[in-house]
Amino acid sequence: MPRFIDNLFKSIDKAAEGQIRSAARTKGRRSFLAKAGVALLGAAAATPILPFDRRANAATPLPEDDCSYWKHCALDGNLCSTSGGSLTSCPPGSSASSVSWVGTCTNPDDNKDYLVSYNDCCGKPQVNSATFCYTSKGERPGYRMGLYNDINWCMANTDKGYHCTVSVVVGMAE
Amino acid sequence: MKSSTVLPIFLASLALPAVAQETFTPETLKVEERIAEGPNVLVMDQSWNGASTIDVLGADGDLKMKGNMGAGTTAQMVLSKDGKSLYTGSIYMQRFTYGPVTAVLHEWDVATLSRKREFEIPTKLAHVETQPALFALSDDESYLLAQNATPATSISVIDLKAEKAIAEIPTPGCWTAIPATGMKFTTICGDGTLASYTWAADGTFGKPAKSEKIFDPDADALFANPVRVDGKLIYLSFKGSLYFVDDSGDAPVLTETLNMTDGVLGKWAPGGSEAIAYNAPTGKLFVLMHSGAKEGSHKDPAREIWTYDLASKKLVGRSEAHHENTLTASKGDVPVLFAASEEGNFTRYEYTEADGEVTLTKAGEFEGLSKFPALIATDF
Repeated sequence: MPRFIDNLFKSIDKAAEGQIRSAARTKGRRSFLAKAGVALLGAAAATPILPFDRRANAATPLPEDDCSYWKHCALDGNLCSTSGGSLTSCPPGSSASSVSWVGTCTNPDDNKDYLVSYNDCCGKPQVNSATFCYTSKGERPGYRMGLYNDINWCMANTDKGYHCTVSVVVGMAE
Repeated sequence: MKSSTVLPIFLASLALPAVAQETFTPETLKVEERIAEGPNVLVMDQSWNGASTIDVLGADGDLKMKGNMGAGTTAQMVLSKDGKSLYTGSIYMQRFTYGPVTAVLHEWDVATLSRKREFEIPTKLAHVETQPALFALSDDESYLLAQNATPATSISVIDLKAEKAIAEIPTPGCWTAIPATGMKFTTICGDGTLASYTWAADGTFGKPAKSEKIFDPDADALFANPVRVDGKLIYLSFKGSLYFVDDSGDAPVLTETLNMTDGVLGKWAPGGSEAIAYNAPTGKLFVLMHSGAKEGSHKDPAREIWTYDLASKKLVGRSEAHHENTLTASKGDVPVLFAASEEGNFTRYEYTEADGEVTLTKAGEFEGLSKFPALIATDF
């Protein structure tokens, strides 16, 4: 298992350890968010060469708002690119989820595996015309929470309503 | 309408023939007090942006709509053993998509589709697709076990008599709470183990009793929702194996594994949200199956429903499915199966057995029943 994902699991588990009591409940969650955030940033910082999308020059381009696009390999949700946002940005007025699940997807251009953070965008209704994708490569049930895509990842935000999902490449898989 | 035209119309109405007024019987408005008699099937149509709906259909071939019950967002549900009460747990955002959150447990009277009571439960309740192992009644139905996720995982033990949570049991790295005998539940964990927890009426709880490593979450993960058969749990793996787990002792123990797909061509594997169902009188497991399986296809819709006989440990039936990914079986001597697809279509299957071979035949359909049919339950 990639170290990044392993760290993510440890962060989730650690946040729940120690017989959580009411006074510490909020702190425990914030602790997870901080660690997850560091993990995400760390993964990005440790990967100086992020993949760039050469699809624009490819012979048979696949649009980013198609569910078969390689970065969407474990995405269960509405594409933000068809909801007013883009592949990596939430639509205006929404908020990005503080926590996310992770997929390991293969870029067909270089045949390398990349870690993709699937962040939900939150606080708004869903767009009825949005493209809904339901892919699950490497997805696992809630006992591997960091890989789980059947849960609302807006759960840790102030605004918890599910809006759509973005696919953000955050690093290379080991 | 001008007032000058109203008066002539009014006067003209007074001049209507007396006989017409005498024969007219006005209709009366009323509210149905109860649903029609007969067996029922309940379908959770889960919403992530508003009210979730639990539709109640007649279980006969016409699948007649009897009415519904309405819970909040990302609702979970569990039906009491006698089928008379439905419990739901759901989220209420004060402004529908944002704002302060409450989590509410409802008890519904199925016969009248009305609320019996409601009270708030901890707001850590997971916002997640409806699953039986995430919201379950304890062995004696005195407690309800609710899955929390923040995303750190824990279980709220809710005392239904006291109408409050008496404990939050941390279950780091684990998911689900399968009620076991007594005040105990079993959960499945990301390190390939299972763990059992006990609690007491005063809200205290013990340390987890963990099993040895039972499965490999990377190579062949287990679906999180098992069926209970003669006291044991049967988990289904992504690649089509059955894992038998005895959780009657302190720690769960793996007692047996079987593979359903050995010798079957076509790369068949289970798929769906609730891919396995069990009927006790026949001793049969029913599994939603798809062909051409690969990593990531574990939620693919079914092309067939396989029937597996637990006594002979053999595959005894392969029947055509209709793209379903959620399945349940009734409890009676001759099971009736109900299944739903991601597209919201609902199908009913009748069971026949001849010469040891089982055939499931489509015998009822409700197209477009739901937007997101996440869980099905029967009261028979």
